[in-house]
Amino acid sequence: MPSNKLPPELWYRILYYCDHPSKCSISKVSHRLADVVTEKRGLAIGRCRNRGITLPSDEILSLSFENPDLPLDTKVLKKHNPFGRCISLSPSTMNRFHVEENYGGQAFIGEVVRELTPLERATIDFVLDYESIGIPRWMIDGLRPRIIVSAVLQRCDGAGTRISAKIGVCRLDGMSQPGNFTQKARTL
Amino acid sequence: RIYPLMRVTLTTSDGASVTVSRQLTKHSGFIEKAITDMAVDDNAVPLSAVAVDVDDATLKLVIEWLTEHRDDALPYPEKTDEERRADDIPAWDQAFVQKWDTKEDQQQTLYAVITAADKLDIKGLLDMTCKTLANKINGKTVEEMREILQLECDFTEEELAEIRKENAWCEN
Repeated sequence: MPSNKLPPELWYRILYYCDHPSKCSISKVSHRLADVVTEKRGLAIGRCRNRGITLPSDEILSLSFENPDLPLDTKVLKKHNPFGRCISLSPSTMNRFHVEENYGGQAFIGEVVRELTPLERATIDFVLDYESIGIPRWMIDGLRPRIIVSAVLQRCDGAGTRISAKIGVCRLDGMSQPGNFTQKARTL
Repeated sequence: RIYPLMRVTLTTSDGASVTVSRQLTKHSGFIEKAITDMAVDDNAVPLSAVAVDVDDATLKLVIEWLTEHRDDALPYPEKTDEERRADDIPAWDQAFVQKWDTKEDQQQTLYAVITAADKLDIKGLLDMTCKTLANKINGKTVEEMREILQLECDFTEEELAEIRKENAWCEN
């Protein structure tokens, strides 16, 4: 029996165990498998909607599935948060940063910030561990997002410590850049 | 109640008959339903034949797997999306599938067993074989996938050009 005789239902089950870049490649193997993957995507989207999870616009979703390594527009993703929940950064003057998410608790990705000399700036990048804050694995596999929280501290002479922060969203570039998953601190 | 010594005769799509213990067939939703639908006396030995749409060679592999897994807990534990993983295939199952690799038609055997597990509603076997195929294609290039799946490229030149364009975008 050739593989293309397997019914779509069985392919869906096989695709459950494939990572996202592989699913994208499968869609380029043949017309039939492209149809299966597209339909699977439809099923995944439907499941999100059934669970009341807000998804990005269709254009963004389509872009996302067809280009697994494509960075997505941060503003659009923040507006159409793929997780259906607001993930916000709460910088504070305390010596720990933390990221809060408004879905029943906090996810701390704290980093003890050392004392800074006046006018010294430090940028600390964090990578969120999605599963630790309850975002399901299948969704991570489906959309492959990566949120980098970047916090900047600046101690102004006589004016206390100024803290600004930004949150960036980009797509995982496969899983081929493990270095990006480590948190780092540097002084500018 | 299932009587372990009770036996069921299965007739295959190519006309063969195989008699197996109910201890094995209890893992098959299809066979169990067929027995229930027959409304026969559970003490009847053997039961009337249950026709299965699986060929003899594939059924023998299915029975081999069922024999090894005869004591597995029922019902088969359904995993959530979060719990699904492809790297937890038991060692015996891996060796079982590995044996097919010596066959010329290893892929055909795998597809046949996947299809049989689906038809006979044997969830454990279906999961294991789907994971096996997923593991074979995960991380492979499109060309490698075509080779593994033994599929011809049926895209037109224009479609291929579009795919190349897409790939270039990704690779950049």
